[in-house]
Amino acid sequence: MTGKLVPLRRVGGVGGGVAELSDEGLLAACGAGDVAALGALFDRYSDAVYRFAGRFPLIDKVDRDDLVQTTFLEVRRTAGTFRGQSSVKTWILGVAANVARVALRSERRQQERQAKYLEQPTTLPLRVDEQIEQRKLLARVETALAHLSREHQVVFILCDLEQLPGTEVARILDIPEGTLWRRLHEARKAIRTEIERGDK
Amino acid sequence: MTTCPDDIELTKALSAGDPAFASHAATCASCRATWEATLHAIDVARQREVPMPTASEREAMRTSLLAGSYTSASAPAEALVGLGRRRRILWIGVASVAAAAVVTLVILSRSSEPAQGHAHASIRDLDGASYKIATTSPDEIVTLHEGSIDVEVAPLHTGERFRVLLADAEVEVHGTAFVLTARAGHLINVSVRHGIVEVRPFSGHPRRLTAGEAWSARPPEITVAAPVDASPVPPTPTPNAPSEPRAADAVARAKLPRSEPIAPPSPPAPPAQRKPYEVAYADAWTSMQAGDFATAATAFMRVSLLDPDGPLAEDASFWNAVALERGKESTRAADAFRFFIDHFPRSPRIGEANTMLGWILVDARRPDEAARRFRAALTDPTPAIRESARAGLEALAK
Repeated sequence: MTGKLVPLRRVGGVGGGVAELSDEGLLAACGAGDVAALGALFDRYSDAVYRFAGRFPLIDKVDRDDLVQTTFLEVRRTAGTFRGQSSVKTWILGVAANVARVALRSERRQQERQAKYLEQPTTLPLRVDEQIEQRKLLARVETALAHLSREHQVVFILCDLEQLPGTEVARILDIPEGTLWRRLHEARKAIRTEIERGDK
Repeated sequence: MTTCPDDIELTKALSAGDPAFASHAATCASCRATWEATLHAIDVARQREVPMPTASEREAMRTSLLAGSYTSASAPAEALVGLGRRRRILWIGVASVAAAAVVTLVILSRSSEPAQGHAHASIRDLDGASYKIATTSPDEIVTLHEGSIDVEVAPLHTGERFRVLLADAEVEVHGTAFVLTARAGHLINVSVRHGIVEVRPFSGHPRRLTAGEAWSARPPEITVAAPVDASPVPPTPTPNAPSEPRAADAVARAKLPRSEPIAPPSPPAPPAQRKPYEVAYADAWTSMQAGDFATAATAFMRVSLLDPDGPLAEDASFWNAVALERGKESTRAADAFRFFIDHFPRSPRIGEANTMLGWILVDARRPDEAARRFRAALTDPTPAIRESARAGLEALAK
């Protein structure tokens, strides 16, 4: 056989193993208690879940790790409920979103952290510098996101940052579509307003 | 759309990229302004930095998750939701007794290459130790970076080995039970409960311990000195030998077909000035050129242990995989290439690693993953790598 890179060799027949199972197959195996399948799902989607978790404003490493771990434990526990109405990735992010709503630190604790964050001086040195302006802009978005309820944050992150279809997001969050669009509108408006406030 | 949409319609239209709204916005200044401001807000929000875990954090999460999954199979599901940090750690601690065995099982079940062995060791984490099951039977290697583990090894068959690898020593056993302690990758203490253990410091003389005996590193030995007999001679590539990898040369090397000999690197610093990971790196290449691929693979692994984030870690990880492949350890080589690809996704060698892994998987009759690996290498800047990847896909098609 030509084209081999180094001392590597030929093609054989067709085989199969956990790593090349489809997402749906992995989820089914996971639901049946296959630990290797859970590992493979983690390998495929942990980055997406970490990224989703990391998008929450003011989240610290402990909360982020809690969210990721609890998400995959929930994936394992509820894998049998997957009905193929969305992609596996969307479904897993939906699990993460639902975990985030109940498992992240309590609302009161969150508010305390927000207050602490917002007490910090956000005015940066007055320099005509694009980098500084960009940081101020990002800080304003962070502030706006931090002021949103967890439900609004989840919808904004899933729809606008992870770019998942709204209909699928409504389904995995088990909320009416109308509620989803309303929350998304309110979240966008809050962030837009904060940015515009800074522009003035 | 002739009239301005209400807030909800506007939100849906923006999400769906509704062309009717787009044409309306083209003629309606108010809607266009809202549209552009919203897109700007989303764009800025997307630019926020999202902290991602390090490779070791991710690996630790994976390990604890799989261990937890194993032990919590019958646990009430509600207990898993809303875990706080303290509960999570406690829970992981309870699970840690089973962790090693589970991870071993997972490693075994994840790899479907032929000639898989089974795990011989039961590992108990005594104090939140940082360790990893690097390879499985017939040559099981556990790497220990920090803390203490209690290891019990079942009797091994002919040709089977079990080792614990540290930055400055390795401990090999033959059916025994012992406790091992490390600090920052360096071996501190070994005490044997029963059986025979051989402690082999890389910078000292090996010692054989029997039941009741213990070995402790003297404080000065915690920092690794260059081996007394370490050869300062720079590795000289032979036509068929692997090129000498140096991080600084990585980009340049990636532009060359791997089958071609590479110009020899600059001579390394004298041994007295070299860091332990540089010594291990030189040792690895000495073994590689001598055709002792098993020793080379172990030495490359030591480089990663000694300085996991250092300048040689990337090359060491890659050449660990190559050494295993050349030593006909295809299952371990495949795992090592996967590790390299996962941990160094921006390496200039990524296409090469994918292609080499693809060919291993072809031999292992895993066409789906092989095809995925080959496809990942199709855009590699090196023509020889792209060509090899294409050949791999053609071979799979046949």
